[in-house]
Amino acid sequence: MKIFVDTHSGVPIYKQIVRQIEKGIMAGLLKPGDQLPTVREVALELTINPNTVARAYRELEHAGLIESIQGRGSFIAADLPRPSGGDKEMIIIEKIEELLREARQLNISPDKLEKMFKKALENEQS
Amino acid sequence: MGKGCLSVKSLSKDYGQKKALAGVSLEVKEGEIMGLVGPNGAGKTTLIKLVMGLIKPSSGLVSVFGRDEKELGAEDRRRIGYIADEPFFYDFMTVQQTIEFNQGFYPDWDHEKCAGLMQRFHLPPDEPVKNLSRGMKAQLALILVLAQKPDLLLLDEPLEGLDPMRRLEFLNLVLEDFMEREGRGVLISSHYLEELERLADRVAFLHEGRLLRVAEMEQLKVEEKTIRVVFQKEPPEALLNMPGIKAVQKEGKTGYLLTIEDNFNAIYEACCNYPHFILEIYHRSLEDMFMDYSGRDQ
Repeated sequence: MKIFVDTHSGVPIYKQIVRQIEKGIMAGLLKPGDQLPTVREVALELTINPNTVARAYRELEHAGLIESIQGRGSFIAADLPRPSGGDKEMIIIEKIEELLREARQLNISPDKLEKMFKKALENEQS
Repeated sequence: MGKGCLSVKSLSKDYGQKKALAGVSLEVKEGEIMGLVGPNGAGKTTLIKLVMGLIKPSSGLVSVFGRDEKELGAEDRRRIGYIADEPFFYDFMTVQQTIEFNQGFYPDWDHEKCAGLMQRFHLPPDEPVKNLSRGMKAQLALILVLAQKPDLLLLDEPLEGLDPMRRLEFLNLVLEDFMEREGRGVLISSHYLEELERLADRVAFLHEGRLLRVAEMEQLKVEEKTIRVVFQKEPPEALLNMPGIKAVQKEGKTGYLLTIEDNFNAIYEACCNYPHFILEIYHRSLEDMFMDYSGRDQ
């Protein structure tokens, strides 16, 4: 999976790499056991500091998403952590809070928002 | 990252009344790439020349590989690679002669690397250096410094005269060399801030001889932002006085532009929680910070 970084983004480069690999895993582009390019390879491919790549890989390892085997390389973890019930709720709660903020900024009243949401749910179910 | 590759303490250089460098303290650790940023005349070249021992400090200390620069032996000096802002060559020599002249100083010269890079850059070996373009001279300077296998690399505006593709190629070669052995250090000054954003672990901002700030690149990305917020009513003063807000500019009746350099998350949360019409985040690039620091009167 090719990795892209945007140096103009306000998101640190290591975080961009972490998120891309997370998404790749979620989308099935990266499967358990797939080998990742080495830190060196990524650094040279993207012309970025290897410490940045190493940091991304460390974070992914810490999250249980990749495994680094001395002398062999880094691989997508064989058993990926499944988001727990609590985690899933956290993700949705964050999205809801984001939606509330946006609606507030656009001056959409809570009543209107509730109506819009109900309509969207109905459309989804039909 | 380990101990110091390079350490300067309270380093100053005066030219008569003019302070080219004033009390600068800075460290480049092993395994680190340090970017040096500042407008022309900020003292970047002076700092690098002091580290190289090409000029003597008015006060302060330079340590390289843990030793006082004045006491470095020939062997240690050979571990320092340097590309000057205007690389000096004997114009009458050919490319090949220049290489042979240089390699004589380094018993550990990497012949294979040298030959490989000559091929890669397509440098004509029998061409007198004076006929080379600026970009080709930069490439030759790079070959000479990498074949030396330095443990500390000092690059003073090395990317001048290179087109975007060649800039990336140059940096890739620096990276490749940097990764070859543990514990190497790089100090690179450049006006090509986007390139520095890719490469540097930390960045030092120089202005009028003074060190204004040193920060981790990743931290700068997270903390350096501009927030545009138009509140519904005048916000509490405490909000506008939050630590980390570098500058406040009023926009319209209840609007503000906040320049943030630290504590971004807390400040953003505070703005979110106060009724507002718009709340936008603009990321500040290294270039924006450069403009900011260069515009200051110190």
